[in-house]
Formats: sequence, C-alpha cells, structure tokens
Amino acid sequence: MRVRDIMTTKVFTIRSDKKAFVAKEIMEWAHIRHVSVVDAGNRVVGVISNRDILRASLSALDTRFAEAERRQHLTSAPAIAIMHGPARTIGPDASVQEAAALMRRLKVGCLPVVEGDCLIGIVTEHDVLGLVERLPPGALPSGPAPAP
Amino acid sequence: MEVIVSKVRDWMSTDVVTVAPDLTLRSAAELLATRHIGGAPVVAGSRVVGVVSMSDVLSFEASTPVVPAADSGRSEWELEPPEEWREGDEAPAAFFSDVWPDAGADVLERFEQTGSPEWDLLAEHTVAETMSRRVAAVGPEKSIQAAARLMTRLKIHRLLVLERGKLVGLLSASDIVRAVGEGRT
Repeated sequence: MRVRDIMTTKVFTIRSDKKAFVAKEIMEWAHIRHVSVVDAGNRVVGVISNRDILRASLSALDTRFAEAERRQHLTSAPAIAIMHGPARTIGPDASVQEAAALMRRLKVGCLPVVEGDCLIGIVTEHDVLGLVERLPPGALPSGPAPAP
Repeated sequence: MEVIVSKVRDWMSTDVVTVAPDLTLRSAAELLATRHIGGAPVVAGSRVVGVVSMSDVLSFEASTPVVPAADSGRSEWELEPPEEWREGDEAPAAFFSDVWPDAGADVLERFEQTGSPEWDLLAEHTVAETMSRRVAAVGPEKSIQAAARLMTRLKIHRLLVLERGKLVGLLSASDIVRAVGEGRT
C-alpha cells in the first residue's frame, strides 16, 4: 500500500506571511488538526498543528503582558512564527509503512505529501487508522520490535 | 498456519500516569506538565472514574472568576462507574480528542509565576470538578483493527484499556501508527 492510496487530497494551506489565527479558524471550520504552510511559490515550508496553536495561545496568555498586548500577539503573529518547520514531507509512492515509521520517529501526526515541488496531499494518523481497520488479521506484527 | 492477531495488549503503553479525583488542579497541572502529557485517567481506588486533560484545566481557569467566592461551590463527586461512549454522543472529552501537546515546558514556564491569582485559584479546586466522566475504552484482548475502527468512528486519538473495570493501559493513535511502521503493509 502506498501513501497516495490513503492520503487526503483536499489540503488546506496558509501562506507563511498570513496571520496565524487564520490557521486556527481554518482548523475550526474544516474540523482538521493540521494546516500546511506554503511560501509565495506554493512550496511547503512548514505545518501548523493544533498543538502549535495551543502553544502560541499559552505564550500569549503570559501574565507578564497586559491583556490587550496578549490579544494583540495572538492576532498579529504571522503563520511562519508559530509553525513547525522546515516541513518534513513524504512522496506519494513511499509505502504506508515508511510514512508510519517516519511519523513515529518525528513524533508528528501528519506528513505533507509532495511530488516535485508540488503539494498534492497530506497523510495523517487518522488516514493510517482508516487503513488499519480494513487490514486482515495477521497483517500487523504481534508486538513492538525489541529496542536496538 | 495460525494467524497471529495483533492485540491492544501488544501495543498499549502500561506506564500510565493517573490522578486522584481529589487532587488539586494546580498539582494536576504540574504533574501533567512535568511528565509532558496532555491528560490523565482519574482513578479512585482501583477504578477509573473519569479523565482529565490539560485543556480542561486551562479552560477551567478561563471560565472561572479570578477571585472565587468564599463558598466556591466545590461539589462532592460521587463514585459512579464512568459512562461508556456511544456514537452520536456529544463531542468526546479533550482527553481523547486532543493531540497531546508536548508543551509541558511552556505550561510550567507560565505557572512559574506562582504569584498570579489564577495559580491560587487552581489550588482551590479539584480534578473532580473539571474531569469528564464519559470514557472511551477498549479491552486488552481486542484486535488493533477493532481499536482503530473505534478511534476512527469516535474521531479520537486514544483509548483507555480496561479489563473488568480496571485500568491496564492506554492505547494511542501513535501506538497504532507504530504497529504499521513495524509491519509489512
């Protein structure tokens, strides 16, 4: 099974210079947890996850700043300031196993799928779960490999 | 040839941090932050009575007046078995649906300013006041496929693993991703 077989092709992106709160609004509106951040040439430069939003909200809640200042921070920071990057991406022809191992190693919940310079999809933990529920018994190992 | 079924027990984590219902929210926040986790099952004696997440604690602060009334309305929680989740129920508790931020350090840094009124407020309220009593759980002998199906249906990222009402582990979406990463799909 390849990444292109399970990836989501409806991808939401935000330009890196746009305000970060727009990413939060996209997530709420589309019920998603990740928004890919692209530069002016439409190349993926990072990802904003809902945990990046939470982290930004926390720093904006810092009580050393006045209320107005805190609100200002949350609404004025550009996407590039709160995203995690550079984006770790994967190709559409990589195996799902490879994508899963990479997600696990990087401790991320998604990988943008890139063909050449072009963003063509996103593969998330939930896409992997969707595959797993259809797997026949015996398709998965019976336990973690021993630590090296 | 016998088919090896990959079970929840094979991939769950057993080193689960739990909290007591009468723990103060301040202590709970400190514990979650230092352990870099986003939430914990709430256990009384040997039974799970609910779940609590860091975002529950933070929103408790946000939605509560900074200066609590003398009678802060601390309610006695009752020891009832938690309710099981069903499809169509209201949105899952943050414990199950949040992608756990590894934001412990950020939270701790914030809470280091312990002179703040909100910090004092957290010390006056308990986990029982903000925990969610509805839990999503799976048995340890269930297949990984069945657990994945439940997470997908409920749109959640983790499940409590309960055996005869007793907590034996926690299975997260990333545990299942790991199984795929080590498999031959």
